[in-house]
Amino acid sequence: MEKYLVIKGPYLRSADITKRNTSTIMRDVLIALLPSIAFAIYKNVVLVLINGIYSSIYHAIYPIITLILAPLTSLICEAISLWVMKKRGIKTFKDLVEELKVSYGIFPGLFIVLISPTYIPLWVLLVSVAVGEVVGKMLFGGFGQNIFNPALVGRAFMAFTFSSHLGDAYLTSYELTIDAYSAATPLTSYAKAGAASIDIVNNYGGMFNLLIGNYPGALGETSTIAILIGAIYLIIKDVIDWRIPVVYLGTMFFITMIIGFIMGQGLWFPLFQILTGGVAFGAVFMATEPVTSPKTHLGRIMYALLLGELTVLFRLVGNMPEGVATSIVTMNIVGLMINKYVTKLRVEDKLTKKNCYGLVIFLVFFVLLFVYDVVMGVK
Amino acid sequence: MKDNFLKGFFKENPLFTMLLGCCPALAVTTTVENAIGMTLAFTFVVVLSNLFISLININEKIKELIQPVRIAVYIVIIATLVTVVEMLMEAYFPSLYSSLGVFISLITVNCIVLGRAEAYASKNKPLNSIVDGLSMGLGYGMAIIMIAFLREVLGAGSITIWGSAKLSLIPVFNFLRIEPISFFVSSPGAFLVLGLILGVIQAINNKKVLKNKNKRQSKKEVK
Repeated sequence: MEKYLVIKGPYLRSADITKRNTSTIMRDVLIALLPSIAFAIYKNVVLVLINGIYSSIYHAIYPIITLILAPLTSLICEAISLWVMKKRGIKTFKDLVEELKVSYGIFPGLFIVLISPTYIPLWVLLVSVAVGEVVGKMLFGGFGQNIFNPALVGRAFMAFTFSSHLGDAYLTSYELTIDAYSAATPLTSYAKAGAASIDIVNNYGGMFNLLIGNYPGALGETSTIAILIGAIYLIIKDVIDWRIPVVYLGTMFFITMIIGFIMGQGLWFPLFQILTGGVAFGAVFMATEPVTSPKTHLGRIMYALLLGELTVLFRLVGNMPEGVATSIVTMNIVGLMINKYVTKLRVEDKLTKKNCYGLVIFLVFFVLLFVYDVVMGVK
Repeated sequence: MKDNFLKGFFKENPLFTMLLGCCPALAVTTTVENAIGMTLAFTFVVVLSNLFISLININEKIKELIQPVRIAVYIVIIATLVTVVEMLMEAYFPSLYSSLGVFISLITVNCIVLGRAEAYASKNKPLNSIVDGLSMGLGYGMAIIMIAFLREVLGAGSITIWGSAKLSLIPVFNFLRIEPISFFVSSPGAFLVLGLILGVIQAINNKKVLKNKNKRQSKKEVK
């Protein structure tokens, strides 16, 4: 018997009080994803079947196949890499199953399939899932150790490697039959058009249609309403911090509003930027990922501000139509620094109100400077 | 002698254990042909530089004389050899010369060549130095050909051994209904492949260390 009992901190675990732990959090995220998944199935399978516009039944139920196969691939990759790397002394099959229960291998695959084009070739999707899972997650040490969001690593790999496959994969036969729909997503057609004009919104059935999400786009990220329902659930359950999505979307809205006004456009321009592409999905499910986002409130606000700016930069100045995945992966690196910086302020007791105001004023100034840059770049 | 020759392949492989010469290993390994060309040029330079440097160092008087400026002396020898290789390559293999480009001249500042000169050739006899150079050159070559093989097969779907001696794997890819992943030909792919190979080697080493430990423990228990 030892004389002194040494227990390492933290001594008070929130799990004991709130009855929340990692597995309930993951369950809540899954529940929050359900509206998006349901809408994706409704839009890409049910509507296609009702309208009877499909070449074969395989084509009609293809989204469901991808929704099942991608998480499965991710889980299998996780199991194989756990087994090969012998993480935490896995020896028997039973150990492996126990480990898989707490490493949540299906999530990278599920997220990748939701942020990928609907009709992406199966092998492209599965290779990207495997890369995201193994390179983005397992090589860094598994669940809770990853620096980058594994799903976005896979998505970025897909965007940079298989860009030739992505262009036409958004189009569904259902969408072809509706008169004004074009093959491209709203953002692609905006990038191609070069000049901003409200015709882009009208081509896709108006702002309300963009809000509901019935336009060509990635499987799970078109419907802003479905994502909002999930976000409200997550915020009520206290799984994600409201600061990140609100500040992220607010920054994007603010910057694009100023840019829109300078370019002589109305309020539709910022709304168009927020409602299309993966901004809402990224803000709610990707940027708030507990492992890779900063841990302090101030740090989260800074993180979300910079995220919004980077996304606008990638979209309006860069040569790719979409910038959410790239900007979140980039900010994951900066997130580590933000964590360190804010904790240093705390420890040295410099986090007074005055300093906070100064920081916020500095950031706002930075945003304005940035807007000026973007406008010069766009022109 | 045998150990001296074999050490460059596994035990003291310049790329895989010491991570020397990363720049050419990442830059020229887009095709197997480039890697083979690089291996030949590199082996030629490292063998001859080892020979000349050990010949210089045989004489104690000269050794003492050049001691303060020895790095400069070594660099002059290496640069001369690299220039010879460059000119030979330009004359006889112009296509390889153009695809390797600046990386032939960069052999001059390759740390493996200078490292072997400083660490081995200046202290050993000429014959041993030649064997050491051969071992290092071929070991490095093995490493970069390995990387190039993986990158070319995955990224371009072919194996180019020399000139038109090219094996295309596109029918296999077509049969599997997939396409080569161009990511592996680009530079991030090179980093990924090198990192994965290093990881596998590290895993094997860890296993060996663990086995040795267990053996030692069981021996102690027996005693």
